[in-house]
Amino acid sequence: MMENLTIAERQQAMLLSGGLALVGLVLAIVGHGDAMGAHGWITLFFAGGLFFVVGNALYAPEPTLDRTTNYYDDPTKVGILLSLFWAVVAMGVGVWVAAQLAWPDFRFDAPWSSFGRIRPVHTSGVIFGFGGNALIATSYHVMQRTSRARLAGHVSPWFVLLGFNLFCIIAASGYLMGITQSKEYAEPEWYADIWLVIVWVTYFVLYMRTLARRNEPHIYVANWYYMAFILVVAVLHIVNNLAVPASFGAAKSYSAFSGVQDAMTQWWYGHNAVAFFLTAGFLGMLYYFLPKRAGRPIYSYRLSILSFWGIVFFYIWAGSHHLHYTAVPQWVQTLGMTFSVMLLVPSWASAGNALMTLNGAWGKVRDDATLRFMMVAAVFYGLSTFEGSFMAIRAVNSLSHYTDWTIGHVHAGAMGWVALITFGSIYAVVPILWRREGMYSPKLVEWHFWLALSGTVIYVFAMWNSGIIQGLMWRTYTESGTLAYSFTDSLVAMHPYYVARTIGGAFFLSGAIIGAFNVIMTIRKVREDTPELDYPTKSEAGEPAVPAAE
Amino acid sequence: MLRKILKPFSKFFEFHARSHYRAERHSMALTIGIIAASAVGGFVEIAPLFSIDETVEAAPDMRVYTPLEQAGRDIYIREGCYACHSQMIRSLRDEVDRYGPYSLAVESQYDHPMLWGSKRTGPDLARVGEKFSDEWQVQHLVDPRSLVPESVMPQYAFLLNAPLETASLPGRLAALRTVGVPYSDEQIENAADDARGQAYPDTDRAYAVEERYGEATNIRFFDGRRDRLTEMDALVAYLQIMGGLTDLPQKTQIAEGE
Amino acid sequence: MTILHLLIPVTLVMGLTGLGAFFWSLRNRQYEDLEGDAERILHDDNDTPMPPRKETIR
Repeated sequence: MMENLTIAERQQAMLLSGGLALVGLVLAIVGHGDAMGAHGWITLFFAGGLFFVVGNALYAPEPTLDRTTNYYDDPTKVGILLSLFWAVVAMGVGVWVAAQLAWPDFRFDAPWSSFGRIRPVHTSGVIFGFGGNALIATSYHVMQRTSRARLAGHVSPWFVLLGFNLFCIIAASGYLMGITQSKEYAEPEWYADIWLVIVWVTYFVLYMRTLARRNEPHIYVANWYYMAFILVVAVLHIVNNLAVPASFGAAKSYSAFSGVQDAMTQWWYGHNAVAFFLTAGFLGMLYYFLPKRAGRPIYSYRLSILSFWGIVFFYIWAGSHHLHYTAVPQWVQTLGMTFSVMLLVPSWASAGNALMTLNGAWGKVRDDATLRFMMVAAVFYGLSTFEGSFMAIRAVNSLSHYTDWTIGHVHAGAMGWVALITFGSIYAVVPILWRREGMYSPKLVEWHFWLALSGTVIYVFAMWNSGIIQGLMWRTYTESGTLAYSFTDSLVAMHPYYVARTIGGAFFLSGAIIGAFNVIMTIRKVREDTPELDYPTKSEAGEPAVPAAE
Repeated sequence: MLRKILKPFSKFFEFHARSHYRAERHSMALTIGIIAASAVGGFVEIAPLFSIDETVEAAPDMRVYTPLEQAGRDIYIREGCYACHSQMIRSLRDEVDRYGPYSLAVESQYDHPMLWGSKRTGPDLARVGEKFSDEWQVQHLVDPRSLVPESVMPQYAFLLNAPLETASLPGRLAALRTVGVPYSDEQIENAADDARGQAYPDTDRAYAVEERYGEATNIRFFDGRRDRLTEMDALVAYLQIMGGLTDLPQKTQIAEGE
Repeated sequence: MTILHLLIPVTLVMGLTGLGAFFWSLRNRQYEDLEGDAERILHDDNDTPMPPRKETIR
């Protein structure tokens, strides 16, 4: 990979990593005695390591060919691998944390292994580690292909990718040490937040510059979705994380907002993190990789644009549906509920668009597990957005809030939509990036698909049951007008579902492990026998795909 | 038949159709029309902004967290308790019956950040203060299943042996003041001593706490140990003040039996 | 809800930015050739970029 960078670029990289290592050293010294000091050391080693890796290859041969005749795929490749790494780690922690709800002693006798500390390792790990890396990597790929232009930089794509991963490492290690703001999906503390802003601004600038040098005048719709993801996440992150550190030598900070104000800000952020990180970004993935893999154009390009603007304008207002019946004023709750219901229209426009694109290609969906990943993802996207709009209605929410139904909804979206479209896109893009005929084992892709689907279904069904049971038990009265069930009664009723959900998660994790293995084998080995192609070539575009090899 | 009825209005319809056709061809005009139409809704929603001051109730008896309680809150956050416990009683009958008066906005006014929570794996804690004795709270934190066999809560025995770090407390209160919590200079300067004093009744430090924070302040050997100021002291002090920062909910709502 | 003094202006700015972006896209003729846009992603056979319009930036 070093041979694709000029000496000047390698020097730039050394400068940046050297500077970052120094920042780490300062944090380590200033934060001595506080957990922040540990983060200083982590930063120092991370950046210092990079410094030496680049330094060792500083005078390696420079690229000789005109680089603009090729796309720059090195960061994309590394991003895919990082995404899979985080998937396995974060889903593994997810299974562990789920198991703790069924078997609370399934831990070590040490503070770091309690539910409260390891849960955010899972949530941040899957959202930012798995999802974020996949978004960055696929956005690099899609942006270049659809613009027919090379990335507008050689150091900045790495700075974004690796800087983002440093953020993830700081986040995960921090949670174990007890460093958390407690704001959901915004738990990392002030110094990590500042770092993310720097990384993210670089990402935004890189994206704009690459689009600016596009050789294709029209910006493909997937790029609109990626752009919205990058831009809106930046605004959300900055506003929600406004805080005052207790001291510059300590990790602890206090949010600029409190009480009702903070609740509003947190869920303006929290819901839009779902909207723009977990929805818009992955719709970008869907709109490129699904038609590409199916060999068919998007059913209605018009509809995809309408869906885009609809999502962008409606989602921002939906956040207060997290606050029904709380101390937030009623009109704010109603505003959020109304926009949440209206949101169903643009959301189903995209889901429908994706499925209609496959009309005439259902044979391929049957034969090609990679395409099937994407199709099922679109189905779950439609399902989750319907469920979300439904749960945003006050009356429904009075039952669902605080119960496992919310968790079921989250995971229908996270496993069924986000993870499936990501795995589908990864399986589609890996052979292209590494110039292989196909994945190492199409059969393992099938296995992954069925493990992922069954895992998701088991998980979601379990949570639908436990959530509704919980909600109903809490509000059941005896004939004499007293509450029929104690809280503990409802907890006991949850147990079988907590077990089921752990199993569902374990299925899903096994699928991810198989997927990571398959990808690594694809990279390392070229099969001696030519496998049956598992993706349609141009000549087959009008016919069913060749069945997967045994 | 319909045509006959509508005939007198035909001129009006014509005019309407013609101008709409013109607007449709001129996308700017159409867009402005859409914006104007939808802005009406927007204005209707912005008007209530001017009654914003009525949203957070005025509670003259609303008090700040003492340094010990704030330290306990910080531990609550550190251990991720908010992941399983909410602190927001909704205005629903079964919630009020189970937990007490529904939560008012003013009660979390000084909560930076709020801990309203989004999941109840365990019960809501908004009014858990003084519902259980200090001994119960300590025993429950040390080993939840010794008191509630069906509980899935983790054990936090280590808090009993973890000395409470108090040197950073003045800085923390000062930071809180920067974001709007009305600590006085005196309260900030003496934060470390006050934390200690609140867990050692009948000492000079304890009297000083009473002076600075009011006589209603809970001053007790929270964790049962008299020899050390531990993180357990802080956490229990925090839990015991939950719902006790102001009497407004009790005064303004009719609390059903518990 | 004094936070709305911040949130509503921020959201309005975001909305207006979005609206501005929409008008830009209209004026920049992004919607001229929707069928072509949908088809074009299927046609990059040799997976290489087109020659840059400007000077090569290395």
